[in-house]
Amino acid sequence: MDSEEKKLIDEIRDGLNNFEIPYEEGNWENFQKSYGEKLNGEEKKRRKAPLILWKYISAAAVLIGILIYIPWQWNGKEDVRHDRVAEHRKTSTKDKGPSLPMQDQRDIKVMSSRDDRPIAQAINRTFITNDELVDNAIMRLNADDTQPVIGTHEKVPTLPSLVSPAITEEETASSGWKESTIASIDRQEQHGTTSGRWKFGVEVNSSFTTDKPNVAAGILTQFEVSEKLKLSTGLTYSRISAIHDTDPVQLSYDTKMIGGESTIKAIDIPLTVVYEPTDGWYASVGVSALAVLDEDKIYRMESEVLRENVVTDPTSGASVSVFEVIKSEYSEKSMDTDFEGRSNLSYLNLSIGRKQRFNKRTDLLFEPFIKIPMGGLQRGDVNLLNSGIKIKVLF
Amino acid sequence: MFLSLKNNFWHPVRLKANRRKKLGTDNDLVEVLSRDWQNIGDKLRERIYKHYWGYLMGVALRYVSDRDTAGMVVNDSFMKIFSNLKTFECTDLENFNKILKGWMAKITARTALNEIRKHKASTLQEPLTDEHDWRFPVMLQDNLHVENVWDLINNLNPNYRKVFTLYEIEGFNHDEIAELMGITASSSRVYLVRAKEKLKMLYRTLMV
Repeated sequence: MDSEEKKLIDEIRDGLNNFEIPYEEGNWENFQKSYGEKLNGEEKKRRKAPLILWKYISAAAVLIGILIYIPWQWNGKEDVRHDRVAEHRKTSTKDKGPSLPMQDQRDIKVMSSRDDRPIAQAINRTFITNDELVDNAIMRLNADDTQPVIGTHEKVPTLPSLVSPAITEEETASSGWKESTIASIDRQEQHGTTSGRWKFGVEVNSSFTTDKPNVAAGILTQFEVSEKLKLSTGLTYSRISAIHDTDPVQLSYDTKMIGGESTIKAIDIPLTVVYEPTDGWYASVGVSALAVLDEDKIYRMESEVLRENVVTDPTSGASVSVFEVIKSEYSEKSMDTDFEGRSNLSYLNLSIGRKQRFNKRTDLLFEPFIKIPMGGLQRGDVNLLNSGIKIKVLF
Repeated sequence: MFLSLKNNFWHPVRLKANRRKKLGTDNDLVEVLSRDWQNIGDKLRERIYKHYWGYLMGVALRYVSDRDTAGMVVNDSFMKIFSNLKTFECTDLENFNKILKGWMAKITARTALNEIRKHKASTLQEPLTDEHDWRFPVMLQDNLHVENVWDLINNLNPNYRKVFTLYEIEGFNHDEIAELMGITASSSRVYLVRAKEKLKMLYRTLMV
């Protein structure tokens, strides 16, 4: 570039950069009228998004709190019930005499006030482990002494009648309290403590809605309501891509919108009921609330450009114009969003899975799933239905 | 009363007046903006709009010739500017205004090109023939006036004008221009060379 050309370009650059039109009154007011709502809406949305996120997190915290609180309450009630059983026993033994050997202690859970240990459980454990030993624990329930006392263990011949279920049923029927069998007591021992019923873990999942895979990762907790029934919740960060199923829209004579795509980054908070009919296999159903943190929406455009090519005929030397239509596709980012800052976004989650015991405390779970959009996610033109596989590790 | 107000620096009325005075000039606006451009309220937004409107109109008019369309482009650009001001980065606060104007100009240029793409009536891309491939020697007589600059620019073929302003004024590179205009990077280079040749030729014929 010669210096004169450079000077000319510099002059043009300076001229254009310094060129300003004096402000014309009324333009700001027009701008506010046309864009104010949109601008404020975006600001509100931006402010609202963290609020919605906090709302969901608090809801999850409350839910987890309730799930923790209820089992403790149940345990407390069970203790009260056991005390009442003891009282009932005490009353019945009182009728029979001041000191009565208990012939069948299998289903009795009496809490000793001295060590808070279920007496019957201790007795039964001895009974199960040694056939020949009958734990001849005698609860001396003195009319004056309300404290149950465990007697000394003695080796006595096993009496079939003592372990007969018929007696148990009879006794339980007469006691008026529903009492557990040995097996159920042992099971309760396994599952009875609240901490033993809780499991925590991590999960990753991958699913497909478009040609791009969706990925998600998060933490979860599972509460064992019963042997076959569990409740699960957690917090998952996910990235979901969704195609807009729209018909092409002709924007101008040469440009048409042929589709769109949304990419959503969201926090997913599920609440799931897990049913495990057989050991190792399970099915689950639940709902999850979605808090959208960020959304990118793009429109796919197609434009047709008429190109003129001037070619020279080699024989005649004449210039001939040849026109051709060139189609090109491009993407245009949209300013508006469909889901960001909105509430009532939820999924219906269905899955089946296989649980593999990794070691004594750790389970590895493989779970094919399907997520069906509900509420605000259920839009005709945006397909957010997705399915894939989850991998979970529970401790 | 007047004296006590005058002497009491922390009086609310006085403070308000000071603030108005502080935000009163354009330089102060830039200074306030450079301190915290990520948190602006409605008042500051209005001042930004009024301050930079004329400049962005000038940018828009480099790409679209009618004023109404340019006004629409500017409003669209301001919408994007206000929405994305948090993402604007500037470490060189000495040149804050220049950098901010450059950022705004780029947004406006992109918006204008999108607008053209949406509404263009006819896009006859100029073939890459050798018909203009000749060079003009040029001797600048004096400094150009703004009107002269616009005369030169307006007489350029639309595609030459776009490539020239995008490259030389806004600072986009050829790959970016190719993406913005839907042409190849090599076409962009050729258009730029031709735009410069044409400008020299126009300068000779129009100005000298």
